[in-house]
Amino acid sequence: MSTPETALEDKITRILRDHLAIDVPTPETDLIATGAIDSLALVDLLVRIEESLGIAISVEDLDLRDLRSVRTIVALVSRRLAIR
Amino acid sequence: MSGVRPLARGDLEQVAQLYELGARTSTRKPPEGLAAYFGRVFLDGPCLGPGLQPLVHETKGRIQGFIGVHARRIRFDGEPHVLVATGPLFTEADARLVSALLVKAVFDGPQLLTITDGATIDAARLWERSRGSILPIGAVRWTKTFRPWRLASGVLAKSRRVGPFWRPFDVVGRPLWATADALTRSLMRGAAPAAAAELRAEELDAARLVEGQAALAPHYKLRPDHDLATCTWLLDEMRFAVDRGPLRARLLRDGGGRVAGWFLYFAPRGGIARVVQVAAMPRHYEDVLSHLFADADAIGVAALQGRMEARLVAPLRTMGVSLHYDHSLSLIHSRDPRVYAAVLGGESMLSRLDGEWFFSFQSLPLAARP
Repeated sequence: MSTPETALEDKITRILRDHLAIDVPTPETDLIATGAIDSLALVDLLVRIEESLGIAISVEDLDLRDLRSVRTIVALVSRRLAIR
Repeated sequence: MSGVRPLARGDLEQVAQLYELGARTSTRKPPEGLAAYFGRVFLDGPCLGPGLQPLVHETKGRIQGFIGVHARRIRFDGEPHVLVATGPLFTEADARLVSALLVKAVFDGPQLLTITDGATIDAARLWERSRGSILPIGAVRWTKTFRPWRLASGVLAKSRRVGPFWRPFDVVGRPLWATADALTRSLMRGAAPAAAAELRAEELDAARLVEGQAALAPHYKLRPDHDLATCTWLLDEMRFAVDRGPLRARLLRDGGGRVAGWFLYFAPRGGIARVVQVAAMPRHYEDVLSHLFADADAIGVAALQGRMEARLVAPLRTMGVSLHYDHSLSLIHSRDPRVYAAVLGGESMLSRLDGEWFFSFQSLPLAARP
């Protein structure tokens, strides 16, 4: 049975793959260090996460480290969902 | 500490260094006055409150990126709102991702509408990914030529490839260009435009700009709503941008003393004048443009250029202008589709006056300015 975190991982992996053409080998893959994500993809990813999950990701309390991998993005989104 | 936050005065030196590195000389040695100019434009100008301030991205005390935010009062369908004009945007070379965070932070603000006037194609792509758009009509520049030989020589003198060779000819050849222009103008229809006789011109100051805005308000769904202090500041800042040439600002009234329209443009003598704003009562657009053309011609500019706007398409159609693609793009972002419709449909009075275009971070020497 999938946990909320794995469901979120699947969702974010699908956004990366289907909309941004970024294949992520594992949830821990470093998207920034590997150059998989550039500024265009990053802003697109944030907007698509907001649209698909109905949350607002405020940049002002966001660190680039939060966007380093699918796993860290899931943690970020989970925090936002918890305070919604 | 790491993340996006509002610009503070203590950041100015680092911001100027970063701009110098990325946008000017590729060094970290900004000219005297550049940091102060950033402060003047972004910290000393009108501020409309939290969420509407210029932003930096900081990592461990190091500024990695900056985005300029100019917040202006506007009205849409009669209701008060805020417009944000952004720019410049620049980051450390090894921190390009920061630009995405800065753009998103601006778009998350409380404003109805975000614009930028002088965008590169890279910035346009970033906006498009953030659900913004390129404004198609803003990519078109119109030119009214008064002195074609002077214009051609000036263009050659500024050319990167030919300029170094041509500049001495540009200077010594001026009497020759003037003669050639006089001959050509005698053959060109409409080269010496006549101003509409029923309007009279007067100097446009901040109070008259406020008066003009109020007079035109019923005719535009989307319009600026600047107060006197903001108009004063905008006019002062345009006069400070001396590298573009002296500012010409005229208000036009009809025979009954009613506001017919106004124009603002930078007028380097013998060079290419650039329009900041032309505004008019809908029935007076051609009259106001005729005054603008006559004014520019009378002070001896080679040509007058402006950004195409939806409300100018019809009146310029018969006024002998040529059209070109502009190198810089106008971008727009709003969550309200009615705003796009107003801008594209000619129901907007927004112009370069409301954007960031006329600020001149590029020019030198800043310290020598008045």
